[in-house]
Amino acid sequence: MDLTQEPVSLEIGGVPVRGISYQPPSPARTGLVLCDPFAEEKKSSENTLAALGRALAAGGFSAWHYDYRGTGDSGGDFEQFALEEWRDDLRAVIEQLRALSGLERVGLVGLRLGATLAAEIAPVVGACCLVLWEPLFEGRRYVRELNQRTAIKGMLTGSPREIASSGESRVAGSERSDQEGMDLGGYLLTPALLEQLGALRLAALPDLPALILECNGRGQVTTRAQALVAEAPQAQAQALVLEPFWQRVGLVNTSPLITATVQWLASLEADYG
Amino acid sequence: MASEELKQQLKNMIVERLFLKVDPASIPDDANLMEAYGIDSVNLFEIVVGLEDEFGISLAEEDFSVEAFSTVEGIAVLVEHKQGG
Repeated sequence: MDLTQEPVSLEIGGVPVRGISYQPPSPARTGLVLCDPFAEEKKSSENTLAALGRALAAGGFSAWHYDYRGTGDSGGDFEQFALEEWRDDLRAVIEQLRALSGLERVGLVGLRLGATLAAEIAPVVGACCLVLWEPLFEGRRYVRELNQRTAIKGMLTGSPREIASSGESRVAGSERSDQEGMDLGGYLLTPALLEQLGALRLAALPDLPALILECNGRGQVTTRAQALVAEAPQAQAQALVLEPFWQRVGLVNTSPLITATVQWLASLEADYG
Repeated sequence: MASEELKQQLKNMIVERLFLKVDPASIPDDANLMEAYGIDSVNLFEIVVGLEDEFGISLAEEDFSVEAFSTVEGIAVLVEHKQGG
């Protein structure tokens, strides 16, 4: 029997939440929910997350990758939702998997924003493990970076630049005010979303097996990741020499990242016996 | 003119962060980075993150100009200015 990959869906608050399920040939004992990054980063990482889903299934795991409400194939408009709803989406997905699949364990694998959300909800949903790819440590800094990207695009195109951020919003060359949010390459970031993004902070890891994987030019774990791991007995961090594929338009070979993830999860599975 | 040491540090950072297949020392100070190395907005953002992480500066909206970011010399002048040099 081959791996299976098929569309799946559920409904949350009357809105369809759609995704893809990746299943191994034999029934899995552990399932992984893949947690999406944000906006353009989601687009740039679709191929990698699909490849991860297939690799997990090939490794004997079940994997589910849903689009948050208002994104991808799920229903609703992007502006209708913010982080609170996306946390609810992940919780609902895990609840449904537990109810329907008979899995013994459910873990979370997240990228960027998805990694930080996964770390937040993992203890709440009783996740067995956590893999964080390039988590966002400081939401305030992330919002600043979103602003900087917008400013850089404006600089190169000569178009008005809209700058807004939680707590220190400002707009230049535009009549929009910070109360109206921010246009991020076609994504309208509402004030509520900006505020929730700015409030994100990954200050500690839950007490469960966790792996932080970072990608950079040096292959060195950042001090922020080191600090988190130092306070979490069951956590470890690795860094790979890999381009930030979540920002790239072209394809990046992310197989080292996928391999490291599946191997770590397989070692945990072996420990379960 | 910005210091030679700073410009070399910047070249190293740019090559490392953008995964360029060039010797950092071979990048001319006045080469147009966008034209010579195909640097786009995504790459420029990586440079900005590198400047803040590795050079201890904080860039505000008014710092973003094509003139400042086109060349290593321009970036070095910006860094020295932000560092109070």
